[in-house]
Amino acid sequence: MTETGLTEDSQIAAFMHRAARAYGRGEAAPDPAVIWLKAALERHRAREQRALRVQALSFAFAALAITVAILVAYRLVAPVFATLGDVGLLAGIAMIVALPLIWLVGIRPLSDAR
Amino acid sequence: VDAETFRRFYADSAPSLRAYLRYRLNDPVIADDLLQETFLRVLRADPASLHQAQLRSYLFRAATSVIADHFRCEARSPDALAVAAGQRAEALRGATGCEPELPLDVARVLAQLGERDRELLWLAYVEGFSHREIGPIVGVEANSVRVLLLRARERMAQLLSDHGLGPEEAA
Repeated sequence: MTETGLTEDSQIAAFMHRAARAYGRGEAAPDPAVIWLKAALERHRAREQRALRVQALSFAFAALAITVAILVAYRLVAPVFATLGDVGLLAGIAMIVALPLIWLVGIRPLSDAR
Repeated sequence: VDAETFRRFYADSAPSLRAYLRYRLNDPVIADDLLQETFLRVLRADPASLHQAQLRSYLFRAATSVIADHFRCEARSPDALAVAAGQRAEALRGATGCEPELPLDVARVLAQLGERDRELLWLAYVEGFSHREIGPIVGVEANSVRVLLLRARERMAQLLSDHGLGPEEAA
């Protein structure tokens, strides 16, 4: 760089540093506590959403498993109840459907809460 | 990252980033909002995985992206854009600055520089970033930074000369 170039360069540097001072470079920035709290809140929300997604997925799998179990149980047990007549068959079906539902709706949330 | 590490990182880098945001936006209130948003983005990106040297450059890259998002949001609202553009132009003319402490001669010179030139000159002269570091911040190759910075220097030197700002006056 020529001598003139160097002079220009130092002139620009001096001007830019003057502008930087005018724009408050070197002054203290606002308290970062708010930023940290916001980030913590975002992390907490993300964890909650992840947990909700996992719960929804496990609920869907449980519902699928119960449906399959009901179909299998109906196939195996229905002939036995059928020998007791129409009322017996209906009672049998009701029992097959009710037991997994009671587990899904009642007992499982209780165990999750514990 | 724990709270104490973040506090130290913030104390080291926030004052210079805040000045850069004020310089780019010419509005201390919006600059403080975007300062928060920039640090939030850095925290979301898990800064523990970055080296100390990378972290500063990453912070300015995040700030550039936050500024671009801010202008995009403004652009969606025509009224807001007009008001913001008017305020910026007026502030840069030095008439009624959003930055009250900005000297008139500084405001006049900066008002005549293009946005890209302003950005490059600040990153090179005030922050002392290398061409390689400036590239990702402004979104161009390091070789292009050299050329762009050379032209920005020429334009700035011409402006300083036009405004009669010699080495003593510039400082």
